[in-house]
Amino acid sequence: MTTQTLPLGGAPKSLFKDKVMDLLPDGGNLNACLTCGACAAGCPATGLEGMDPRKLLRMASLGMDEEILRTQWAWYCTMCQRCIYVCPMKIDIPQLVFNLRKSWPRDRRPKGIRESCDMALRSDTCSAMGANEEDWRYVVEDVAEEVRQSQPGFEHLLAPMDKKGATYFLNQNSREPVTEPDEMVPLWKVLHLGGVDWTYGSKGWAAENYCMFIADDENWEKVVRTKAKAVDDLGCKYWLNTE
Amino acid sequence: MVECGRHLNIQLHTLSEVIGFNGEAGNFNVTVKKHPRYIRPEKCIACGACAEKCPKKVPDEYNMGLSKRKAAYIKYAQSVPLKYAIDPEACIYLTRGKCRACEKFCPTGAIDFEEKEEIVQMAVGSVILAPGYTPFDPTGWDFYGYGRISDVVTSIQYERLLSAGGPYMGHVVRPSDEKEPRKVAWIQCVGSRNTNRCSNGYCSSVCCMYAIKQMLITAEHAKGQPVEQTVFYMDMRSPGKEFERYYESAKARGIRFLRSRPHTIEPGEGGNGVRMRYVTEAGELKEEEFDLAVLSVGLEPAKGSRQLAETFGIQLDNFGFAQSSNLSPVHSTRPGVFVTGAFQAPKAIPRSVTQASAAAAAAAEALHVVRGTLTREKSYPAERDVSGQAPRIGVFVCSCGINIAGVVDVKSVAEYARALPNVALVENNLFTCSADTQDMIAARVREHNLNRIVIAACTPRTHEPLFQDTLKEAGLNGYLVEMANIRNQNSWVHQREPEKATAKAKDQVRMAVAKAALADPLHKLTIQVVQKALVIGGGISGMTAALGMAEQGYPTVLLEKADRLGGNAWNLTSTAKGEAVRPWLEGLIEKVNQHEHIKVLTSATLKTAVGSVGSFVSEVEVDGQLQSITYGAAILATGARESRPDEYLYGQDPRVMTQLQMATRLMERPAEIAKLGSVAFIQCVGSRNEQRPYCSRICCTHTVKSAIRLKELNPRMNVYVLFRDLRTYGKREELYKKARDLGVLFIRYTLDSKPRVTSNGRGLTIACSDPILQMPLELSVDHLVLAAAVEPNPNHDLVALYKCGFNADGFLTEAHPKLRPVDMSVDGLFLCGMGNYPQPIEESLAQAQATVSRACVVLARKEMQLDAIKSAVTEKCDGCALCLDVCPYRALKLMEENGNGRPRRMIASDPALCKGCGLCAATCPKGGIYVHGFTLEQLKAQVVAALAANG
Amino acid sequence: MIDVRIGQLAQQLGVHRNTITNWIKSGKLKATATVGKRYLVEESEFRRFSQTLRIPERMVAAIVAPDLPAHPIDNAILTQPKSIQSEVRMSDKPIGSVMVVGGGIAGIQASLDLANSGYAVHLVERSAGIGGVMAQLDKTYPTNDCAM
Repeated sequence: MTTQTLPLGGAPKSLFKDKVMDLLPDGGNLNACLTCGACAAGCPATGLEGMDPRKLLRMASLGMDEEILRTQWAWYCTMCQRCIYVCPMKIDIPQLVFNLRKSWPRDRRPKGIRESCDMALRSDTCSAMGANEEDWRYVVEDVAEEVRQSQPGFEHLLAPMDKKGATYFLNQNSREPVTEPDEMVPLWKVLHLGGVDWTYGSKGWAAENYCMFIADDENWEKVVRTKAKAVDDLGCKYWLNTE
Repeated sequence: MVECGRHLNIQLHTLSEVIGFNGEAGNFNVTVKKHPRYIRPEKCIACGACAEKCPKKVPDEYNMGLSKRKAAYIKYAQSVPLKYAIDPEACIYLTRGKCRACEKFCPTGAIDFEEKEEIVQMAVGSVILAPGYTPFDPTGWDFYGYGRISDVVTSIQYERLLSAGGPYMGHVVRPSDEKEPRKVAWIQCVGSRNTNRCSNGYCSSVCCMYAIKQMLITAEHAKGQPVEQTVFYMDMRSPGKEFERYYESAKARGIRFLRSRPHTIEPGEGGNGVRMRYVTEAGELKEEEFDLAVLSVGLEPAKGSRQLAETFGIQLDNFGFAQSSNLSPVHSTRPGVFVTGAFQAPKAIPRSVTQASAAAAAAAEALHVVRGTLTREKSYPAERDVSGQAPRIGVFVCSCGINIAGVVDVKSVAEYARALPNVALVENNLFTCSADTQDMIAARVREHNLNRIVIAACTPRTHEPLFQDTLKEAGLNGYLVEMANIRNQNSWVHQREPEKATAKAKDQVRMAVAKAALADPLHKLTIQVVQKALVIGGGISGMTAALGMAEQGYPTVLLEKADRLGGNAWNLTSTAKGEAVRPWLEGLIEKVNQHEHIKVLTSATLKTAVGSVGSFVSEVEVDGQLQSITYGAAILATGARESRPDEYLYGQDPRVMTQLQMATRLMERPAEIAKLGSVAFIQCVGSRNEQRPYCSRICCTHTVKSAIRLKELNPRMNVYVLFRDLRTYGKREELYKKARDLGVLFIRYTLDSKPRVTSNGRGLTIACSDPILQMPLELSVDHLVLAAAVEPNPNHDLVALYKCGFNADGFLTEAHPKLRPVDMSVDGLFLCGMGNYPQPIEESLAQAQATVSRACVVLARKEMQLDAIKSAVTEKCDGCALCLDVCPYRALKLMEENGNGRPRRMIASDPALCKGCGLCAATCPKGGIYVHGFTLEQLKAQVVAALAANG
Repeated sequence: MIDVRIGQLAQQLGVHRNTITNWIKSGKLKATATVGKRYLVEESEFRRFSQTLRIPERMVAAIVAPDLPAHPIDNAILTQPKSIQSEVRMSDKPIGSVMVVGGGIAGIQASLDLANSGYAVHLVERSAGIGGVMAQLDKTYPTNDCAM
C-alpha cells in the first residue's frame, strides 16, 4: 500500500464500484461493508500482495480505481466464495473480483490461463490442454482394458464412450488423461460397482473451463454450449460435472 | 417475583396461553387456555419427591441444555409459584401409559393425571403484551460449529455456567472435559446486524454490555489464576449511563478488545477448546487457540409472538417485534392493547422495567375512573404483643446458593449461633428470599413462639421489606427483624480468605443477635397524601409526564424555566423511525395548555421545597412573583442541551457547525444544502474523553439520519462520517445500513489520533487516516458537522433543594439503575428524560410515562404510611440544639414550651422530614435523641458484641 | 364465588381466625381450599351460613357486595373481595382490571405497578413459572446483584 495521502471529496465521479453495483442485484451490497474482517479471516488469498478481500473492497469504496484495476490480487482470488458465505451483509466480493478481471485487456490477463482458454476453443473436446478426440478415446480404452485384465473383480469394468442414451454423461478434467491416466480409474470402479449407466463423450468431454477463470464471458458461454450440445447429442439425462 | 406471587391484586395464570380475544378498549373479553400442570398446586409442597423418583430425563431448557431435568420438574429453586409440574411431552405415563412413580411417592397426593386443560374467559379493561424474547439459536451457522464443537457455547449458556444455580454450581468449566478455561473468547453480533445468515438486520442492544459483564465476572470467579479474555467485535456499543466507564474499566483490567471477526471456529487439539483465525485491523492474519468460545447471541422476538400478534390483532414490524410509533412507544396498533419490554424492541433490563411502568400507566389511563373497583387490600393477622416477654430469637443463615456459602462456612456460622444468648432457633437456608422460605419462617415463628428474627444474608436494601412483610404475616411486628449482611460486607469482599470470612460472619451474627434482643416493635405513622403532582421541566418528557398525571385525574403543576414549552424538540425534524416531530410537538403543547388538570407556569423557577413524599410544599417564582404550591409527588424532567465544542475550528470558521445547527438548516434551507459538494461529520466531539467520560447516546443516530437526508437531497454529494464506534443500537441499525447503501463513507478514528481540521479559502480540509488501508486521507469538504456532546441542563440548585443527587457527569441519579430506574433516592421524587441521561424521543417518553405510573402509586392513596425508623426526643433533651445544624433534612426544630410552670427548651422532630440517618443521635452528648430501631442501647450492645472474643 | 382469606374474614366478622378455620374444617361453612391458604365459598352458601349465625346484613353485604363507586383506594375500608374471574359485562364503564401477557421482568413490573395503584391484574404466563429469561442470568450490571 502506498503511504501517499489519498484525497477525497472532490467533484463527484463514477467509481468502478458503482459500475459493478449497477450490474448486480441489490448492488451486490458493495456499499454495506462494516469492515468486520470476517471475509479476510477466511480467505485463502489473504496476505498475498499485502491484500485481502476487505482491503480490496475498501479501496474500491475510496475510489482507488487505478490501484484495484491493476492489482494482481484479482487473479489470486480462487472464487471459493468463503468471503460472502460469512459476510454479515452478504457482500458479493467474488463478483467485484470477477468484474475486475473482466476489466483487464484480454491480452494482459495471466498468460497461462488465457492460453488454456484459447486452447479449449480450438476443438470440440474443449480440452485446455489440447488433448484431441483420438488421443482421448485411445487412452480411455487403453486404461480400461488394462484394468479388466489385471485387477481381479473388475473383469467386466467398462468406460463407455459415446454411449447413446446413457443416464449420466461424465466429464473429465484434461489433466488425468494427459498426464495421470490411472487416476481416472477409481471413479470408474465406483460407477461400475454402483451399476450406474454412464458414458464419456468424445466431444465436450473436458471438465475445465479456463475461459471462466479469465472472465471471458463470451468464450465461457461458447465452451459451455459446446459441452452441453455434446451431452444433448448423446441424449443423456444428467451431466455429471466433476469440476 | 415473590411480590408478584403473593400480591392480592395479581392473579397468576401459569401454563396458560391466550387463544381468543375480542372487544374494545375498556371492555375486552379474553379466552385463556390453561394447560394442566398434573400436580395440584394447593396440595403441592414442593418437596421434590416426584422429580427424584421420576425415571425420565430430558434436556433442561433452563440450563440451555447443559444439564438434564426430569419429566416431573420445577424450573428452578426460586420459582414462583413454587409448585412442581409434569411435562406432558416427556412423561412416560402421559405419552405411553406406563409408570406413575411420582404418584406413589408424593406425600400429599398432589399428582393428578386426570387433570384436563381448562378454557377460561376473562373480562379486562386493557391488555399489556410482554412476551419477551428468545435468544438467537446459532445451530444453523456451520462455520461457528455450535452444536458440533462442545466448547462453543452461547452467552446464555455461559450465564448458566456462571450461575450458582447452574449445572456446575457457578464453577466455570468447559463442556468438553469440565476443566476450567484459562483463555476465553467472546464473539459479538451472532444473530444481530446480519442480513446474510439470518434476517436480523437490527442490533440487539445488549450484547456488548453483557459480554463485558460476563468477562468481568469471569475474572472474579477465577480463584487465583488469571483468565485471559478476548472479545471479537465490530463496534463496542456502550451508550448507556455509566456504560462507557464500565467498558474502560474492562480495558484497564486487561481484557483484549479486538475489532475483528473470525471466519470459522474449528475444534482445538484433541477435541478440546477451539481454534480461530482472524485478521487484525492492519491486515495481519493470526491464528489462536482458546479454551472456550462464547457466542454473544442476539435477541429475537419471543417464540410464538407471531401467533400472539394475530390473536390480539396487532401489527408487527419487519423483524417480528411489535409495531409502535416512537411518539407513543408502548401503544400497539390496536387501541387498548399495549406492548412493552423486549417484544417492543430488543432492550436490556433497565429500559424493560421503565417501559413496563410506562405500559402500566398507559393501560391504566383509560381505566382510572374505575380505579380500585376490583382490587383488594392486604390484611394481616393481629400483631402479637411481645412486650414483657424475654427475647426468643430465630436466626436464619442464608447460603444464597454459593454467593455466600461459596466463601463463608454457613453451617459453622449456624452452629455458632445456636449458642448465642437468647437464640431459640437456628436454621440454614439455601435462599432465604424464596417464597417457600417465607412460609417456613412464619411457621417457625409460630411453632417456636419466636419474638425476634435475625437474618444473616444479603443487604437490607434488597429484601428487608420482604422479611418485614413475612413477620407481619406471622403476627409479629415487622420491625422485629434484624439483618446481618454477610454477603456484600463479607462473602463478596473476602473471597480469598474464607476462614477469616467465616469468623467475621460469626461476629456479624453475634452483633445482630445482640441488637435484635433489644428490638422493640415500631409503628408506622400515617400521613395525609396531597393528591397532586408537580412536574419540573416543560420539554417533551415533562409535558408527557404532566399529561399522564392529569389524564389519571391528578391536578398537576408544570414548571418551565424558559418562556415557552417544548425544549429541545423544537430543533428536531423526525424520530429515528421518520415520524415528524413538529406537528406532534405542537399538538402536545396544545393538549397540555388546554388540559383542565394542568396548570402551566412558564418563566418559572422553583425556589424552596419542604416536606417529604406525600406532602411537599414549594415556592415558585413566576415573573418575579412568588407562588406557593403543594403536591404529593414531583417529577424532574430538567433535560439536557447540546454542548459547545472547543475544537475542530468550531466558532472560528462558519462552515463548522453542530448537529442541531445543521438540523435547523436542513429544516429551513434544504435547497441550499442540496447544492453542497461534500459534507463531513465528526462523532464523539466532547464525549468519551477525559472531560466527559460518557457516551451521549443519540448522536450516532442523529448523524446517520442527517447523512441520509443529505444523500436524499443530492445523491452525488460526498458524505463522510468520522466515528469511533458507531452506536446505532436496536432498530436504528437499519438507518446505519441505509446510510451505507446510499454511499455515505464511514471512517473510523481513535482518541489518540483525532482528525485535524484546517480551513482554506474555499472550504475545509480534514486530515485523517483509513484504518483498513493504514493510509492517510485528506477530505475536502464544504461543511463540517460536529456531533457535540450532550450535557445536562443546570440542576444543582434543584438537587440542593430536594437533596437528591447527580452523578459524576452531572446527570440526575436514579435510585437503582435496574430495579427503580425512574425513582430518585428521595421518596416521592421521580425523574425522566435527558436530565437523567441523553436519550432519544421514544426512550424519554417511555421514561415519562413510567414516572406517571410510579407517581400514581404514591398518589393513589389518600393516606400513606411512613417508615418507622425516625428520630425520637427523650426527656434528657435540654435544648442545647447541637443537633439542629447537623440534620441534613431540616427535620429538627427548637421549641419553647411550658413544663411544670417553667419555660423549657426542647427539640421537636418532624417524622415526615426525618430520614432516620442518626446524625442527631451521634451528635447529642446527653442521650436526648435517638433513632427508633437504632437505640443507643442497641448500638452499645452491638459494639460490645463486636469486641467480644469469638466463641 | 367469594375468595376468602382466613385473617381477612376474621377481621371483617370480628372473630378469631381460628374460629373461621374451625367453621370450615367442621363443615359448618362449606369451602374449597385454593392456592396459598385461601378458600372459595359460594355466595349462596355464605349467605346461608351468615343467617345461621345472624351476621348483620351490612356485614354480609360488605363481603359479597357489588361494585363500590369508583374512588381511589381508601386504607380504612376494605374494598369488596369480589372474585376476579367475572363474566363479560356490558356496561359503558370500563373494567378495572388489566391482563398482562408474559411473566418476564417487564410483565412482572407492569403487574406490580398496576396492582399497587388500584387495578386487578391477570398475569398470563405460558411456562410453569414467572421470571422469564432474566431468571437465567447470573449477575446483573452494574451492582452485580443476583438476577434472581
